[in-house]
Amino acid sequence: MELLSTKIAVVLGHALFVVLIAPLFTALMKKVKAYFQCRRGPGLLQGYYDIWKLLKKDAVVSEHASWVFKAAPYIIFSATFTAAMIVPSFIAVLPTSAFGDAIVVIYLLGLARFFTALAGLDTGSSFGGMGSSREMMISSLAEPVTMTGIFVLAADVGSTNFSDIVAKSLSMGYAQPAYILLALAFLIIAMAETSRIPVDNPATHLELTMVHEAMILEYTGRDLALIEWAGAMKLTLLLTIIANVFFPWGIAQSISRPAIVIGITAITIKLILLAVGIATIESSIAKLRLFRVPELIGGAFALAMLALIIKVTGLG
Amino acid sequence: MAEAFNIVVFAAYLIGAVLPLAFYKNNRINIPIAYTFSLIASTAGIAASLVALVSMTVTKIELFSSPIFGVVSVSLDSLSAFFLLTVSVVSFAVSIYAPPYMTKTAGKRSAGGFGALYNLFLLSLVLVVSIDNAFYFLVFWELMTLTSYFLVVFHYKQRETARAGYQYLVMTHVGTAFILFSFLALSVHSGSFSFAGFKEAQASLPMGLKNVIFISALLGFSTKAGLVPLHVWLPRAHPAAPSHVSALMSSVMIKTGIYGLIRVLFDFLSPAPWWWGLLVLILAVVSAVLGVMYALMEHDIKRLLAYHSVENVGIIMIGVGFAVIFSSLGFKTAALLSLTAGLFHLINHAIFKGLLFLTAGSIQYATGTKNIEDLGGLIKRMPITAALFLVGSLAISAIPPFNGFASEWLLFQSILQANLIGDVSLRIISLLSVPALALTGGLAAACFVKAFGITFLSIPRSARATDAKEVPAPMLIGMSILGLLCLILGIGAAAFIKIPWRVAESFIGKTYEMPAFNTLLLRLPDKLGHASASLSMVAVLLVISAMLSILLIRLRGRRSVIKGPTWDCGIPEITPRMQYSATAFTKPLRTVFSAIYQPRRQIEVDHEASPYFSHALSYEASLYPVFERQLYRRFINTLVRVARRARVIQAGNINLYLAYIFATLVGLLVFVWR
Repeated sequence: MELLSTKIAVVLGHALFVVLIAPLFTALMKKVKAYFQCRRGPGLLQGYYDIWKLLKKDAVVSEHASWVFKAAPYIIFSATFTAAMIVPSFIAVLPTSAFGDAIVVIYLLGLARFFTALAGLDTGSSFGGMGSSREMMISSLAEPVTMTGIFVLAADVGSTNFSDIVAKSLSMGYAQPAYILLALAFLIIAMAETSRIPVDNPATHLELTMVHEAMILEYTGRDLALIEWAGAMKLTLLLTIIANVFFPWGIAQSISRPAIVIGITAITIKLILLAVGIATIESSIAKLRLFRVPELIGGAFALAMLALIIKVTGLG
Repeated sequence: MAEAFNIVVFAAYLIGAVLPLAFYKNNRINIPIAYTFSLIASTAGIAASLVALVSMTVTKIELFSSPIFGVVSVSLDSLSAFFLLTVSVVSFAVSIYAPPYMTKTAGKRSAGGFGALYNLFLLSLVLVVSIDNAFYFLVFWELMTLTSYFLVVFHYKQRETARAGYQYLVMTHVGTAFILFSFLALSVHSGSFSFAGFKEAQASLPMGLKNVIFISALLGFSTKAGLVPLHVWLPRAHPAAPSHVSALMSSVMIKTGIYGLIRVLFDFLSPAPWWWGLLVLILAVVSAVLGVMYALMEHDIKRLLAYHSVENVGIIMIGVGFAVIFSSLGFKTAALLSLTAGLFHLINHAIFKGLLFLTAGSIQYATGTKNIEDLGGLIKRMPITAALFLVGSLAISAIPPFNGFASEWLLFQSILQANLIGDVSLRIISLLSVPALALTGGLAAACFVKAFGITFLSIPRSARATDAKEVPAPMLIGMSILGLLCLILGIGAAAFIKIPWRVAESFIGKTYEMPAFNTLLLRLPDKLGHASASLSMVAVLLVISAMLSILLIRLRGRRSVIKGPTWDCGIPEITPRMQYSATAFTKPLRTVFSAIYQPRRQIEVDHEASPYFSHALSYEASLYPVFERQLYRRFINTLVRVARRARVIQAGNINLYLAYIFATLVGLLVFVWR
C-alpha cells in the first residue's frame, strides 16, 4: 500500500514538474537569441507571465469556426501532457511509462498535431490552411526518421518502453557510434517538430516563414494560453528524450529522496544546456526555404538509417 | 449452438435474396424486406462466429453430398469464424444504414433486384470464408465476383461506371484463373477437392510445384485484395458502386483475398520458405506507401478511401509477411504476434473503412457530390456525420486511443522482433518496413486532415454544401455503431486481442504466453520484450488532463467570448475562394514526391488582341498514372500487336481452314501412332 502511495506521489510530482518547468525554456531560448542579437531580451519568467496574462483575457473566436476550433486547445494540451507523462524525466522507473511506450508518445503528439492542423483549416483563413498544409508535410516526413531512431534505441533493449531504454542507456554506455549519429538525427527532428529556425521561425508572422504560427493565428486569450503551454511542453518533452537517452547522467534509479533531488537538478541542468545549445544553433544559421526542408529531414533520415545499419550489423 | 445460428444465416440470406423479387415493383416494400433479412442474417452471423471463437471448436454443417467432389460442408474453424465475424459486424451496420440511402439512390428505378443481389452477395461472402471444398470455394468466389459486379454497375448508364465495372470484371477474372490453377494443381496432387485433403497432402508436395502454386495463388488472391500493382481496378470500382456496397466491398470483400492467402500459406503449403514471406512483405510495403500517396492526391472522397484500402491491405499483409518469415525461421512467438497484428488490423480496417465509406455515402446523400473541393462547412449542417467521420479519420490515421493505433502498435512491435533474425541482410530489409510504415502513418494523417478539413470545416464552397442537411436516423445509427466500435476496439484492445491470437495459434501452434497481461494493459509476451501500452489508461489520462485544463481556466475567471470575423488582411470580406483548397493543401507533398507523381499541368491562355491582356484562362492538372501506362498499357499494346500478327492465319478462305483441320488431324494421328 505504501508502495502504491509513493508511486502515486512520484507520478504527481512528475506531472507537476513537466507542467511547471516547460514555460521556462521558451523564455530561456528567447533570452539567448536576444543575447546574440545584442538585445537584453525578456526575463526568464516571461513564459509564465504570458500564459498567466492570456488565461485572464477575453477570447475572440471567428464566426466561421466550429466546435473543432474550440475543442482543439484542450485536446492539444491534454495530448501533449499525456505524452509528457509517459516519458521519464527525473526518475528512470516512472510508473506511468507502463501505460505507453515510445510509439504511443509519438502518436499522441500526432493527435495534438492533427487537431492543430484541423483548427488551422477551420476558420477559413488562407494563412491557417497554409500552415496546416506545411505542417503536415514536414511532420509526415519527420515521422519515418523518428520511428527509425526509436527502433535503433529499441534494438539493444528489445523494448520500446522509455524506462527500459533509459535504464539500458545508463548501463550500456551512451558513447556508441550509433547513438552519436542518432543524437544528431533526433536534434534535427526536435528542431523541425518544435518549429525552430532552419525549418520554421516562431518569432515572425510572415507568410514566407510561418508554419506553426500560421495555424494558430486565429487563437486568442485562454485558448492561446493552452496552445502556447502545450508548445512549451512539447519542446521540453523532446529535449527530455534527447537528454535522458543520450546523456542519462544523474537520473534517479530508485524512489529515494536524495536520488530524486539529484535527478531533478540533473535534468534541469541538462535541459537548460540543450535549450541554450539549440538557441545558439538557431542564432547562427538562416531559415531554409520550405522545399529545402525535405533535404534537411532527408539528411536526418540518412543518419538514422546509418545508425540502424550500424546497430543491426553489430558494428557498434 | 453455432450450427443453429449458421442455419439462420443461410436461411435469412436466401429469403432475402428471393423475397424482394416478389415485390419487384414497389420500392417501399422490397427495400425494407431486403435489409431486414440481411440484418437478421448478420446478427446470427455475429452470434455464430462469437460462439465458435469463444468455444474454439470447429463447427461443421453438411450441406449436400456430391458424387464427384465429396461431401460439401460448411466448416467454421477459427480463421473462418474470424472472417465471418468481420463480415457480419460490418454488414450488420450497413444493413441498418442502407434503406433510406437506397430509397434515394434508386429513385424511380426498382430496388428489388438490387436488394436480392445484395443478400446473395453477402451469402457468397459468408460461404467463401467458410466452405471447405476447393471446387465450391471457386463457385462461391465466382458468385461473389458476379454479384458484386452487378452491384457496382447499378448506375450502368453512366459511362464511367460501366467502364469501371468492366475493368473490375476482367481483372478479377484473371485473378480467379490463377486461383483456379493453384487449386487444380493442389487437387491433382492430393486427389481430392476438400481442404482437409489438401492439408494431408502438403507434406509430399515437391518444392518446385509448391513454389508455382504459391506464386499463382499470390497473384490471384492479391488481385482481389488490391495489392500493388494489381490494385488498378479498386479505385475505379469502389467509388462507382452505391456507398453501402462500396463499404462492403472495401471493408469486407477485399479481405477474402487475404483469407485465401492465409489459408494457402498456413494451411495448404506450410512450412513456407522464408523468401515467400519476404516477397509478400515487399509487395505489402510498396502497397502501403503507394496506396496512401495516391490517396493523398485524390479529391473524390470515395476514390480517396479506395486508395486507402490499398494502403491498409498493405499494412495487413506486412503482418502476414512477417508471420511467414518468422515461422519459417522458427520464431514461433514472434510469428504469432505478427499474424495477430495483421488479423487485428484486418478487423479494425473493416470497421473504420466501413464507417468512412458510410459517412462518404451520407455526404453524397446530403449534397449529391463526391468531390470535396465543392464542399466545406458541413460540420455545422451535418454535425453527427462530421463527428463520426472525424472518429474514422483518427482511427485510420492510427491515432490513440482508437483501434487503428492498437493494431499498428502491435505491428510495430512485431517488426521489432526482426532483431531475432540471424541473417543480417534479411534483418535490414525487414527493418526497412519501419520507416515505410511510419511514412504511411504520417501521410495518412495528412490525407485525413485534408479530407476532414476541406469537407467539413470553414465556409461552404458551393450551394450544395450550404443547403446540406443531416441524414435520416437509420443512417446515423448504422454509422454510430461502427464509430463506437472504433473506440471500443481501441480502448479494449487488450481484452479483444485474445481472439486473433487464438486464430493465429490454430495455424502456428500454441505457446503458453499471450500478449495481454491484463485487460487494461496491452503487454507483449515476456519472450518478446517488456513494451506495454494501455490505450484505456491513455484515454483516462487524456480525459483527466482535459478536465484539469478546463478547471484551470474556470479558476482564473471565465471571461466572455467575442465572435468576430476571421482576420482577412484588411480585405472587406472573407470568401470561400480565399480558403485553402484540397489541391492547394497537398501541393507541398506533390512537389516533394514529384518523382513518384510526375505531376503535369496544362495552362491555356486565351487572349484577343495582345498577349498581355488575357481574357480566359484554363488550367488542368493531372498526375501521370505510372502503373496504368507503364505496366498495363504496355501489356495491352503487346497483346494487340501479337493479335494483329496472328490475324494472318485467319484469312477468310474456307479451303485454308479445311487445310488447317486436315493438318491438325494428320498431326494428331502421328502423335497417337507413335
